[in-house]
Amino acid sequence: MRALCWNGVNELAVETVDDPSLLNPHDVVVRVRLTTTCGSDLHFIDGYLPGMREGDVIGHEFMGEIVEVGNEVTARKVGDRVVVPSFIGCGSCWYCDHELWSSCDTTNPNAELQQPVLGYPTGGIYGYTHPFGGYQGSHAQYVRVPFGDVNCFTIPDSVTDEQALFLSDAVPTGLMGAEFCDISPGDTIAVWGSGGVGLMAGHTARLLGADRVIVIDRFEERLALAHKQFGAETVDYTAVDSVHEALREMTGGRGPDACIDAVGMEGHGTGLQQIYDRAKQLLRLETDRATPLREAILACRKGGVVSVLGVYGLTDKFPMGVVTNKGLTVRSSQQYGQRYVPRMFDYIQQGDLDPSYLITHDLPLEDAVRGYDIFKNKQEGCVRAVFRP
Amino acid sequence: MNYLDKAKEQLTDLVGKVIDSGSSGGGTQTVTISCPRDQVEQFWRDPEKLSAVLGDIAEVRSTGPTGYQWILHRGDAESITWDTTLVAEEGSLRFVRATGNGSSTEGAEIQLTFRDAPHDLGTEVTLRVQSPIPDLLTGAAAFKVLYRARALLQTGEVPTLAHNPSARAAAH
Ligand SMILES: [Zn+2]
Ligand SMILES: [Zn+2]
Repeated sequence: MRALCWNGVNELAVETVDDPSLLNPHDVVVRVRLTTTCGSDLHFIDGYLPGMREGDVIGHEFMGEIVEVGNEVTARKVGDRVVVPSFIGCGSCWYCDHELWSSCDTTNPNAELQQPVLGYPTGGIYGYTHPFGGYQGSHAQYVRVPFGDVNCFTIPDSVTDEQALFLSDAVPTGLMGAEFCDISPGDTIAVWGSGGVGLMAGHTARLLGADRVIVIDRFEERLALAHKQFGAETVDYTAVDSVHEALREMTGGRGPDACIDAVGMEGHGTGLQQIYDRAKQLLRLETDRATPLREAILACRKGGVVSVLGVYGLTDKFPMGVVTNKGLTVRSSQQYGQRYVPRMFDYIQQGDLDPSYLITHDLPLEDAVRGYDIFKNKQEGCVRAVFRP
Repeated sequence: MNYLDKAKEQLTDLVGKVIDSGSSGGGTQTVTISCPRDQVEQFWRDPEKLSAVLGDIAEVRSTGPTGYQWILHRGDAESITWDTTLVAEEGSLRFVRATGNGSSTEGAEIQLTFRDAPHDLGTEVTLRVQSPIPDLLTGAAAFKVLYRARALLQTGEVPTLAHNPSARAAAH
């Protein structure tokens, strides 16, 4: 089959690789119909997240059609049109039982690589480094999906492929981040980053009852999208002296009730702090440039929630004193996709959310290298590039 | 970060480091498996299940009612055979060197202890390894074995990357 392979830092190529096959009795094989770039892929493409190996097939956000099922798959069948959350759950461990799907205790074949770093390993994910499982990614014609019954969700006829695609990762990540904010009617939520996840966090914060959503980014077209799609107020951080000052003014000096960081370790900012972080990161003295995280902690109102969706490594200079003195709650996780799928289908069917607006570039898989280039460099107003294998 | 290389090294090269001298200490790891204690204990007496969780590290064969032969794979080097006797005690199973079996594996022992976990969480299993197997089953590798055992007991399968069309064939 054809697949997009990582061959080294900033080296991608569409190549011919072996087809996946059923290996375990609960496996299914999905023929990918749509798969999308994700900002978190950029961390290992750029070499900031370790654990990729030459030839790894990348991609973790996809939907498609089941073409093969294992002996013990009972709820799904060949021909089902399905969306698959990016983290792999088993459906039978304590974490899956408690809907903490990305923390699944049995689906990471390389769990021993994560244990020393995280204390306890996460579940596996498609196409996202070997410590995270080493599974083949979704930017390919076919993908093996373990535990097909719990990881494949049959898409209702009234939901299109393009709408279903983002239920794999961007929507549940955003929705989880919004849910972490414990939104009460009247709340103001600030969101750093208006990529796919940031937009979905802002959009679903609105659905959960937020009165105001303020989105912070530097790309005019993305900010315009946030305003148009869910009535967000926007802050272009390159146009203000200080994001914190701008937010303070917009909220009558109180600060947002909750802040969502949807940027992560390669955040951009302005001023001295940014230069310092960038320099340290270039020298590999620091893996992360945590500008948005620090801004969110500073800007949040006292007693508020900071919800972290961006991917970080071992961030240094985490302002713990600010968290304590302001009584903040910090919540974070890799997404619990399986928990949210039915609710996300409802949102789409009720007309509350149509995530297909994230698609700015629709390309054949053969153009995936160019697609990532456009996506990474935010050319042509790119929010998400999707590939059709 | 070099933890990836380090853990990989432990997993793939360890077998080659099996040495005569009884190096002290070994991998000790504990997991909770959400199955009743007798089922979990029974699991470790089954050579087929042992082979399944050891994967490419080793293979285990039955050589009698309490006899277990471990064939430790060492990549390109010749495999090492280790004959053991299973000693069952209250709350533990120990695989110890069978007598008349050369001095190179003196002191070697694999011990499993079982405790009921609180709040119906199942069974707490501790895997403790003493030389020469510790070189084979230290830290990361011992955890991998327990992780696979838990996966097999709880889900009926071991997570695998066999034939994964990811990475070059040589990198598997
Ligand atoms: Zn993602
Ligand atoms: Zn699980």
